[in-house]
Amino acid sequence: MSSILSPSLFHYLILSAVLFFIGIIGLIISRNLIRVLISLEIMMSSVNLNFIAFSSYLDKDGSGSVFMLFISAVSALQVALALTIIISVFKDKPDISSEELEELKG
Amino acid sequence: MELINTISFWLTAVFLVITTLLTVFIPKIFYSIFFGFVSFILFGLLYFLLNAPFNAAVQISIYGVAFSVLFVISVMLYNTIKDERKYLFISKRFFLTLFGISLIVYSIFGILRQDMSFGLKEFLNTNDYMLSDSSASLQIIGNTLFTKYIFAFELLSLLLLIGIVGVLIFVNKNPKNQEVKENE
Repeated sequence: MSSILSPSLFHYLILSAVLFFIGIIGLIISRNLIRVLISLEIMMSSVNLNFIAFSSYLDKDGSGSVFMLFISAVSALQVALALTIIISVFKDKPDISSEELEELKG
Repeated sequence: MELINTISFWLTAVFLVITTLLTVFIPKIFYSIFFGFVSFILFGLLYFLLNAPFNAAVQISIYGVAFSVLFVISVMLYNTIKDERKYLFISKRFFLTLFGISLIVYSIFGILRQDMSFGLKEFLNTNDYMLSDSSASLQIIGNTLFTKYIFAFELLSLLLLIGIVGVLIFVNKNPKNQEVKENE
C-alpha cells in the first residue's frame, strides 16, 4: 500500500472539510427546520473529527478530546433548545418550514 | 494491521460522505434522520480508528442515539410524513459566479506564490506526524479535564443548568397553557 493511501492527518482534515461543506449546503438549501438542525449536527461532528485528529496526531495531553466533550454538551443543549422553540412556535401550524417563521420579522 | 487500518478508513470515509449527502438531499425527512443516524455512527468508527474509544462512545451515544430519537419524536409530533420536494435553490447563476470568482482568486494567489498546490505536496510527503498509541485514553482525558480545563467544565455545567431553565420557561409560555390558566 502506497504511503499516499494510508490515512494520515492530512486525509482526516480533508474529510472533515468535505463533511463541513456538505453541512453548510444542507443548512442553506433546506427548508425543513429539523433538517437544518441535522445539518448543523453534521457540521459540529466534522469539527469534532478535526479536534480528535489533531489530538491523536499532535497532542499529548488529550486537549482535543476534552474539547470534543465540550462541543458535544453544547450541541446537545442547542438541539434541546431548538426543538423546544420549534415545538412552541409551530404549535398550530401544518408544517415546520422555515418560511412559516414570520413572527420574528417584527 | 496497516492494511486493515487503511481499508477501514477509506470504506468509512466513502460511506460517510455518501450518507451525509443522502441526509442533506433525500426528500423524506424520516429517511434523512435515518441516514443522519448512520453517519453519526460512522463518525464514531473514525474516532475508533484515531485511537479515541471514549470519544467514539460519546459520539455514538449522544449524536447517534439521543439526537435521532429526539428528531424522530419531534417529527412525529408534527406528522409531516408527506414528501417534501421543496428546497431553497439559489439560482445557478449565483453558484457559477461564486465558482468563477473563487477560481480567479485561486489562480492569482497560486501564480503569486508560484505554487499551485499551496504547500499540499510537501504536506503529503511529510510523515513526521505519527498516530500515537494511547493519546486519548480515559485517564489522560480525565486528568486534563479536571486540572487544565476545570473552569470551563464548571462553566459548562452552569450553561446546561441555564438550558434546562430556558426549556422549562419555553414550555410554560405555550399559548394553550396560558389560555387554560386564564380560564381557571
